[in-house]
Amino acid sequence: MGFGGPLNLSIPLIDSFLAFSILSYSVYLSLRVGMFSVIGVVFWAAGGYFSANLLVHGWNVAFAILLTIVFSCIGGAMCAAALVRLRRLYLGMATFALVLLVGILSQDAITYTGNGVGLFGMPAKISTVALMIIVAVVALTIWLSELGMINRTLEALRLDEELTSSVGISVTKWRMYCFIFSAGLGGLAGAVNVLQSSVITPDAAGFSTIVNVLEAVVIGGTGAWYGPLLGSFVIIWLPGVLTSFGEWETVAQSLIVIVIVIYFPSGAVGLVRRVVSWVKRRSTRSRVEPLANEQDLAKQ
Amino acid sequence: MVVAYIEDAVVLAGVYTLFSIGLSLAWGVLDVLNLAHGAIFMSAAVVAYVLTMHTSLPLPLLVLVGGIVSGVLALLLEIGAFEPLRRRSENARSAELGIVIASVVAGAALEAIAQHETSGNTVAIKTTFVVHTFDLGGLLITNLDIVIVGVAIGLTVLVAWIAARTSLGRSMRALAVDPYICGLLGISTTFVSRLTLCISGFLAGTAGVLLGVYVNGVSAGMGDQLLLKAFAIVVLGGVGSIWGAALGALLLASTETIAVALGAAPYSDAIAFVIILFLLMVRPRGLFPTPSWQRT
Repeated sequence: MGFGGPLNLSIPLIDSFLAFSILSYSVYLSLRVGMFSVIGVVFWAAGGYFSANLLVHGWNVAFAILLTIVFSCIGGAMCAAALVRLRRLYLGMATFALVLLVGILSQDAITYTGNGVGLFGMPAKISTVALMIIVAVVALTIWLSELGMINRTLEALRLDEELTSSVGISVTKWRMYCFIFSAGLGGLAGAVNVLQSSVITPDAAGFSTIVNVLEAVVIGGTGAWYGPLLGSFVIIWLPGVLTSFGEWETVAQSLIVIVIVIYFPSGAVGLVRRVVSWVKRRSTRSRVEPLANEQDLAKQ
Repeated sequence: MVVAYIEDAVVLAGVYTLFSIGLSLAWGVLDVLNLAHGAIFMSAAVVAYVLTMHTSLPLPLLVLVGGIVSGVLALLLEIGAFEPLRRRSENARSAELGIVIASVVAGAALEAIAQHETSGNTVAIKTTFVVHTFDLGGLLITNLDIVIVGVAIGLTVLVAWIAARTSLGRSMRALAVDPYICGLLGISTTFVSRLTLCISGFLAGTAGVLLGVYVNGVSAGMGDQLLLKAFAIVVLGGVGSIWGAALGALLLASTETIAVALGAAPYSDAIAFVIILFLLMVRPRGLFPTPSWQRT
């Protein structure tokens, strides 16, 4: 089914990229307001199992997705009530622990998780076009949150919490909102991923998912709404490119990511911005240049 | 029967302590949540396995080599990733996040290498160490138990002594309070940071080899589970506290062993997470909170 070409894309690859990009948006949103949380990964797995159970019992696809989002938001609100006071590494660690707790439960709570092995062969599937529409809506929402008042609020939260609360913005309330929204996005991503791959296994709640999504957000950059899209694409597409490294693919990928974290912390977004500003500068320079020559002539 | 469980809990606690002190030190002194700690721990065991593939080696040598290998790995991580991240990031928070990501990725790389070396199997370390069992009035203790508990207590006391009594320990505590002031006082923050991570890695490495020999199995994923238990232990004891980590390890190991004894073995792994979440909610600074300048 591959299109061939230099990117070597195929429909399954595009589908998994689209589902994964929603998860990246979930983590991106948390990081953007300065919360180090991977709550999205918790509901990527929990929501995945939830929707898989609904689908197996013959629920309508749209309904299953909606119900999964509601389930994730409620779960997210419960986690938020308990965890939102935590700061920095403590919050990160608590959400990491939650991810691995879901991983363990998905192996032990065998009634709903296919005897701990996972659920396979969903009766329903989602089309690539529908996936694209969902991702577009998510990206649009994130883009809208980067305009005007909301953007300024979120940016203030990231930069200085004390200052933010001193100007009358409730830090806890906004952190709660973002946490719950992040959980909901994670659930949506999980539901869509089950539909797309028709498989959910305990691996969904594991270290590898956390690694992948953090890599995607770092590669994309946390500076603008299109960062998670670029990062997710690279993360899904890169393993296919690095196959020439064979077993050392993970090692090569890790080295690349470490270099990016250290030397290009703004990720692909920073690169895009640099290129855009370079192009702009060039176009203005070409307009200004004759003038500079005239001045030189005048001096002589 | 009950005595056998206690013995198991004490030996496990020894390994947990060695592992968690390293994690706690890096977090308390340097604000580094080193998610590669589990992989560094595992690397020592895998190196011990590779060394003994064709021949058996004495246990003390293996433990020492494992500790050095892990210490060097942690040092390389500090020099190659954490230091440049700290230098280049705009504030402490973004450095923290970068460090978490760099460490989790580095851990994944180490695991991939280990997967290659062990061909994805659980393998055994071959050592000339012969296990003897002593019968102390119904209590069956092996000499391996004694070695593990002895090494754990010895190294814990040594690190606690370094932190509390030596000038290096004072520098470490100063670094935990404020790196900038620490630099003004003429302490080489670079040197102290490197040494702290080196010690942290060394402790993890010894734990790796000891656990590998104790359970007679080494696999690429052996560090993941332990990393989460260590989170619980560090939260129990309070970040940066050495004695807290030892006590937390004993508490966690006992709780897990009790769970196994009561027949809830599948859920014994979940205990760590429940402890983490509950404690973070009610006592986020550990069971025995101390001001951060008193820690380590």
